Amino acid sequence: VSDSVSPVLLRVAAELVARSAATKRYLRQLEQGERGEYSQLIATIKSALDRIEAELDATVQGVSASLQAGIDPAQANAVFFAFLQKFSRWFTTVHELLVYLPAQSVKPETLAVLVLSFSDLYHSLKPSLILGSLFNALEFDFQKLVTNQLPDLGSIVFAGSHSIVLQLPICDRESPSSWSILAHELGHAVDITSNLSERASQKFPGAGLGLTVIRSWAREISADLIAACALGPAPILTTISLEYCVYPLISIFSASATHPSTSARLEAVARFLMRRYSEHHLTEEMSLYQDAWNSCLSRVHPNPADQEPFRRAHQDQTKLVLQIADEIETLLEPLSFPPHTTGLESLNRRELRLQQGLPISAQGAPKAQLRSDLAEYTGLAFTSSEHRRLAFQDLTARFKESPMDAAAILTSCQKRRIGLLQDLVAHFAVGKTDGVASFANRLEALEMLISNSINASAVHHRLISEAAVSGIL
Amino acid sequence: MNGGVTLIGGTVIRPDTPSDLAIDLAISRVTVAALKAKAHLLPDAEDRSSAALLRDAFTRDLALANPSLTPSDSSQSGSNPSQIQEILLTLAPVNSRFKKADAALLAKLLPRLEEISHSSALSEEAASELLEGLIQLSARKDSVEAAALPPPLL
Repeated sequence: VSDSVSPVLLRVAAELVARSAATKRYLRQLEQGERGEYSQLIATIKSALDRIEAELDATVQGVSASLQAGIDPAQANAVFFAFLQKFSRWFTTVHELLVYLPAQSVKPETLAVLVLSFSDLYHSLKPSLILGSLFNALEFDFQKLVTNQLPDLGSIVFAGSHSIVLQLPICDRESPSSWSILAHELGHAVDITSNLSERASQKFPGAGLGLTVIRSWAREISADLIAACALGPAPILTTISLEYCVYPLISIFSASATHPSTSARLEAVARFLMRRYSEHHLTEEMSLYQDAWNSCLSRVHPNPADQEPFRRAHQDQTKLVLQIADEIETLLEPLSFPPHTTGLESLNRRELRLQQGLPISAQGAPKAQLRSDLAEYTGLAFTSSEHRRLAFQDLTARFKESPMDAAAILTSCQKRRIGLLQDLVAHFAVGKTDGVASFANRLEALEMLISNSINASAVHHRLISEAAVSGIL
Repeated sequence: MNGGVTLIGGTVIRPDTPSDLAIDLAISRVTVAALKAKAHLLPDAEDRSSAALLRDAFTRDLALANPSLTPSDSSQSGSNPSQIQEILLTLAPVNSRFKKADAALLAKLLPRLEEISHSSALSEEAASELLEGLIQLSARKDSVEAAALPPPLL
């Protein structure tokens, strides 16, 4: 059975369950602070989510039973897809209903992610963070918005300055795994102030619509690469996660006039991370996304001959996207971002800690290395007590933990989240839905651990810089 | 209230009719039931009640797509039958969940829904017809509603 159900559709189902669980967490938070005046609205929204999840249950079991009884897998997948269309539409509709509940601000840890990852660039732009009922992330200039509506005000009050607003979907308020999308949005603001995409597009000959498309694509690629500088692979992974939730409702195999295809963006970011940080965390996800791309194309154009022009166009577009990315990459050099903690060994240790339910706010040297250092110290022959004191001081310094950077924390978070999704997918693939509750619990625990890790890391970073300023360090 | 019909946000809602979302879920459930029927698996209780709900809703949709008055309707209201007929005709497009072109499809699916609602095992051909019909219906409905959704731009 597991080989017969499309892994892409199973992943879409798992992503929708994850977003539904995130929305319920948000509703629970609201319930804690209210005096009963919103209880009926909250209960209605929650029951809509429960109802569609129950339907997922019936669909997964029905599809699985039919496959076991020998039904054609293509037909089973078509039924599963038809259901996911509903789930996706239900979810996006329910998400828009959240606007009827009292508005909340983003969590302080959300802000901390941007402060830690953009450092001076964050402080120079000071964006406002808001939550929106549209299931999407956005960036806009509030002053432009106001002066467009009240043109006379522009000449009196604002005089050309910016007021950047970044919007996160409401359901992601309690989910640090999704916050990295804001790095892409802040990337747009950095791109505008640094004039990156504008300069990069000048390298490409074109006029009229062609030039407009190149400029728009360059803006997106620039925001993607800036986000990768700030938070590594996490922002593009969040983009894919968001896209899987609406995958049944959209076509992903072609680019638009404003956005290159996500597949091409993914390739540009993966290549950039490999070159700049020797990071190759996107390989597995790129492979699944390619399957999603292919099955979307086959669904819309079942005849292979009809698919060919789209495949050729996609190849040409990807080539162009990579050329634009090359230009932007050279312009990124002067921008300064805090360093990433890279390295597989460090990542594996963080993943292990998350699996064990431990926070990942700081990391020291590996245990094996510390044991060897200790053994070396105990084997030393000291010529004086001063010599012993200095050697001991040197040894203890090696046991110090450094605060983790936001890129490392959120990359580990994404890796662990994908692991949890894969566990759920494996359950769905054999027709089991009893893993949903445990998945929601484990996902919630992960998000809480990450939120606390970000908080602790931000405090740790602040104390270190304060100590450095006061001369303690 | 006007003859048991309320107009909310441009949509005519009758309190005794299931909501669009309930119909959505029932279509989903019966689509899976049809798949199971193709694999010679019998419908469960929830499948049967969903099929019955869908049968009743489609019957109403068909009636609205082609409204006609019974003598008892006109005698109860005391209105001019042709006037009410005219009003019903103007209501039909907003009342119908599906396009008028779907009427033939709905009519074709009704006997199959009737069979499933009574726990009958469908023939493979009947199950295929129901399965394809519901997927087709679902896709048309989704394409109309998805047009209102924003594109996933980041």
